[in-house]
Amino acid sequence: MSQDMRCSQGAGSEVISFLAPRLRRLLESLPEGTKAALEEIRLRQGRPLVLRAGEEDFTVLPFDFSPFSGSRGSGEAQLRLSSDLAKGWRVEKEDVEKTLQIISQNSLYALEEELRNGFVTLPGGHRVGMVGQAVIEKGRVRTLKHIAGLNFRIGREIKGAADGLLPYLISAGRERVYNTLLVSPPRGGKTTLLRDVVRQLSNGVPALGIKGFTVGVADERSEIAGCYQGVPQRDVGIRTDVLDRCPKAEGMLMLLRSMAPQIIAVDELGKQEEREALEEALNAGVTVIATVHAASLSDLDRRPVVRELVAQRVFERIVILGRSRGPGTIETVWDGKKRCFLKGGEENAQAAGSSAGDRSRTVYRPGVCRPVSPAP
Amino acid sequence: MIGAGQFIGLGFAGQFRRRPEELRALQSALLLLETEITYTATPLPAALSGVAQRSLFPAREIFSFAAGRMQERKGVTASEAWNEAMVQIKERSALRETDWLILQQLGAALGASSAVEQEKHLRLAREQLRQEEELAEKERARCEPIYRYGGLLSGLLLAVLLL
Repeated sequence: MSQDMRCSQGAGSEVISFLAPRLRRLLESLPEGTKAALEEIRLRQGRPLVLRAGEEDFTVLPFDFSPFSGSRGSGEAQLRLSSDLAKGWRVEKEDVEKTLQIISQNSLYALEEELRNGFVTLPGGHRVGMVGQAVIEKGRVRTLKHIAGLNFRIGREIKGAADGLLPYLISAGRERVYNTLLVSPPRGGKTTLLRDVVRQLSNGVPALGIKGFTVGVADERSEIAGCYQGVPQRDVGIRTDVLDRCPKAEGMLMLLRSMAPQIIAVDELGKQEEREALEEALNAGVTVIATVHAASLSDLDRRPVVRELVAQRVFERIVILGRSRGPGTIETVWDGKKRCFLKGGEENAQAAGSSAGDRSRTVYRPGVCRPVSPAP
Repeated sequence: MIGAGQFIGLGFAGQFRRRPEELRALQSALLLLETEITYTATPLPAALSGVAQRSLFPAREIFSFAAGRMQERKGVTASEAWNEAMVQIKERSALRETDWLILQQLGAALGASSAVEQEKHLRLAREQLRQEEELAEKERARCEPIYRYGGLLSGLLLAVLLL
């Protein structure tokens, strides 16, 4: 897909073009605003079509929709949305099959690796998750068959998402970027933010005096750069190298050896071997920017690998994201070395469960995470 | 009149001569397609149009037509595109209904399974086409001269009778 095409149409419309003809015609008549806000399109065979925008699940009500009968205008007039999912437009077997054929370009055999992983990346960087019946061989999933559920996750590129954050991530002398952990609940916008952080650091930000850095991205799930056949479909910056689909731990080491990055970015840290790779990178003087699933600082305690890294004061900046003002809201920024809040510590104190008390003394201690109340 | 008789005879003889050739063209095209699918996992539209360029009639026409239909991305399945392509070519080809059936069966499976499965389907179709080719070759040896000279002779006979 060409750069121009991506710019000229919304991400929602782009994804709609991969749906089975019947569904495509249906959703093309959605209001432009709704299309632009779409985050997910879920097809479950025999069950209603579910769309998601923001916090809302909604569906399209069935109506006498015949693509051959009349003008498209009448179809548009009749399209009604509802949050009563049970009454929604039912997805038929044929819809799922045809959609799958379009996604795979009629070539399921070319998607064997993707079927094993359960998702496909579309040109444009959107992801389609798939469920069906797993075919097991020697105790491992060989492929999926009878695919009956598809989830289109519409990836968004929000340029400038990291504007408010970047000043916290760069050292006073502007010569280095802090090791940063982006913490967010699912769908909190951490991947979108990470992508923009990567893009801006890679391109450089003259306004902040940031020159460009060489960035390596180990993009195991093709979410950051949305690579299609190895080429990033998202703008991840001029000086960015992407290792697509590669296990993160191995990917980080490969990048380190081969591409001489100044910064390595990874999504969803969590495995022990990733920690080792990360330490390897740090020893080589490379900055690491990573994300992790968690709702708050205290939540990190339940992630052993991350907890240890935080306890070792590896991350100089820990950024908590939330949806309080939409996805990607930067709730708090924590200085992982000096152990203090740089921004909005109070919300976090609440999240950590502190009662009224003296919030100014709320301290986060990894491993012992609870607010410290003033000594009696 | 003699000329007309010969012309008609040659026309029929040509059918017998062309069928084994067409069957051979299909077999080698399917072999190429098998390589594209099993070794490089090229997506079907690209694989078909690539193979079409290296193939002869009618494989070239069927493959490139089917590839074109699939590339339009209007939700046409591989087997629909394949069937449409066969209909387009049918008139101009010397293939028989049995041959078309083999291709139709293959079309129904095309692209819809793993590489291993695809290989099986393609091999089966190739084997069936090869058997048809053998039969067609024998038929040709038997019938081609009959029609070729039969046409000439019946023209001659008709002319003599009319004199």
